[in-house]
Amino acid sequence: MGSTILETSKPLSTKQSVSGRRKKVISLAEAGQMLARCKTIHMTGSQLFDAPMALIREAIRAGATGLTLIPNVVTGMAFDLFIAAGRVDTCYVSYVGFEGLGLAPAFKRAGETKSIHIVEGDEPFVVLGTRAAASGLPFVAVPKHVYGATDIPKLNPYIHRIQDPYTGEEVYTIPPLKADVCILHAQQADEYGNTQCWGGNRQEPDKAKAADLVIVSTEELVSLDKTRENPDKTTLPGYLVDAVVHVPFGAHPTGSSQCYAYDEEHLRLYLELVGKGKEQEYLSKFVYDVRDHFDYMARIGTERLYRLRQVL
Amino acid sequence: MANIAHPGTDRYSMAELMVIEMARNMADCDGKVGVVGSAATLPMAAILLARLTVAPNLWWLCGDSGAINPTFDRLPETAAHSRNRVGAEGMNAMMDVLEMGLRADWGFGFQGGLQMDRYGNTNMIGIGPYNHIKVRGPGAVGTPWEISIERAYLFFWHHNPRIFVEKVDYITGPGFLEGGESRWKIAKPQAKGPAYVYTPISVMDFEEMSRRARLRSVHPGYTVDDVVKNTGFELVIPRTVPTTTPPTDEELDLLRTRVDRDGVLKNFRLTVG
Repeated sequence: MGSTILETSKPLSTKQSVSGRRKKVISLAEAGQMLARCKTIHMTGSQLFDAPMALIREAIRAGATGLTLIPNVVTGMAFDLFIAAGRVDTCYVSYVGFEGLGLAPAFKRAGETKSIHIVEGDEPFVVLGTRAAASGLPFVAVPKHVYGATDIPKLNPYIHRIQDPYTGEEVYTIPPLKADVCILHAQQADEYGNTQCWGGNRQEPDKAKAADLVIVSTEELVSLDKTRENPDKTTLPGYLVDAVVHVPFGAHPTGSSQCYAYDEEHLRLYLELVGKGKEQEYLSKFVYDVRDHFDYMARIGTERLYRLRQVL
Repeated sequence: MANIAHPGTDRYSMAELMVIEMARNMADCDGKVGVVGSAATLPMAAILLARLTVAPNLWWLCGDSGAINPTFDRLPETAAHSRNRVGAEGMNAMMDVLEMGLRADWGFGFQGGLQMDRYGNTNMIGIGPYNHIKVRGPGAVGTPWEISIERAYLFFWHHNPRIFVEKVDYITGPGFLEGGESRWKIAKPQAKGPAYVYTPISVMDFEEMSRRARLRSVHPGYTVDDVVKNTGFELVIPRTVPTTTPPTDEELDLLRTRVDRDGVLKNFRLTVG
């Protein structure tokens, strides 16, 4: 019997790949539009380094509001600016402050006037909660000694005390901390999303996996060949990254690891203005009246920015 | 509130004295692994000095920079500084730090707080009832690990009765809880808890049985009365309280040439009252 040749699959041809590999580079304004649709943000960077400040300013300009913020173990202006702009409903807390420069003024005031809701956490809560979300675990259990002597479980309704089914011991549970988006400032990324952080605390992959959407801002946008020179330095492989924005000095006024120091003078100006209740003055000058990131850099001044690159 | 960066002598600053005294008491940390966190200028200097002298086998993880055993000779303002990686022996991840706390085999650590009580319990959440908090603090961060640390060193930039209080408003860093053996209802046996408390005018330790804070020494230029007046809880005062040994020339030389070449500690702001 003769058989009809049925085409089960199409023969391969490079013509099928005419559009090539998908590039992930978008503009800062486009990133702002994406952020304006998000409600829960996984924040990265520390109080003085690698905070995704340009993305935060853009999100504020684009109208992001009613936000829930999940921090890294330490955070500072990344939270405080969102709060100063009145965009925050809920803060998960581990540490919010400016270290030796002072307490976080908008966070402090909002905490005292109850204008934001605070989820009282700490290092194990945010790190293990992020880990749980990244791995798809229902929760993480920690031994009794971690929380048994602190007041944190009394203040945090998400921490539960349960019995360990294996040992019968009392343990505490931490829930997965998921977010709509993770925003991250890196030192190098390529068009396909492969991202290198030259600082950080290796929480970055967990943060990215714990969010539905990952937006990276980068000091340098490089070719794929540059990534391939040092694949062992890739912090986030591109499959974890949805969008890349090229933003030189995008961590300012915090520092960018191995690129530039934090701008202490500017941070002190922020602390002074917000501390005095003049946050609108700060926001007008450095967020609302700013045309784009290049205008922001112009307002800070080229000489000042390049001087920060001398201090490593 | 008096700034006491300079304790009436040009030979050394109060921060230099504090750091040197901290390092002298770190011989017990030799061979152990420790971590410093935020606002750690003084502990970082003490660790570097201890590694040059009494504790060459001490291992330390430098906060958010992730650096293991960094060797900088310019004291950074923050443990998170990427510069801290210079001269390090390796990099750790945040999870490495957490695991030491979860297993309770964390050798030593430094912590501060908005408040401390007589049992070395500390508070980073804030001051006042939770629904009407008067001063909102930065949050607990890694201070809960005080329960997991074999030797915890507490340090404060200010000495006044608002910090050293009868009862902390919240416990985030668990010291000896209610004194005596109460800590070990929760803590693992190896996690011995707070060893010393360093303040701008004194050093405290803890009485063996009661676990109450005890005055160990008073810094030059200050008296037992100054400490009592500026402490909001009743300190155990031994019959004789020595003066903290002033820095020797060799200690100052090591500190200024090998640890703090930029003189960050020379004008470090510390207050009393």
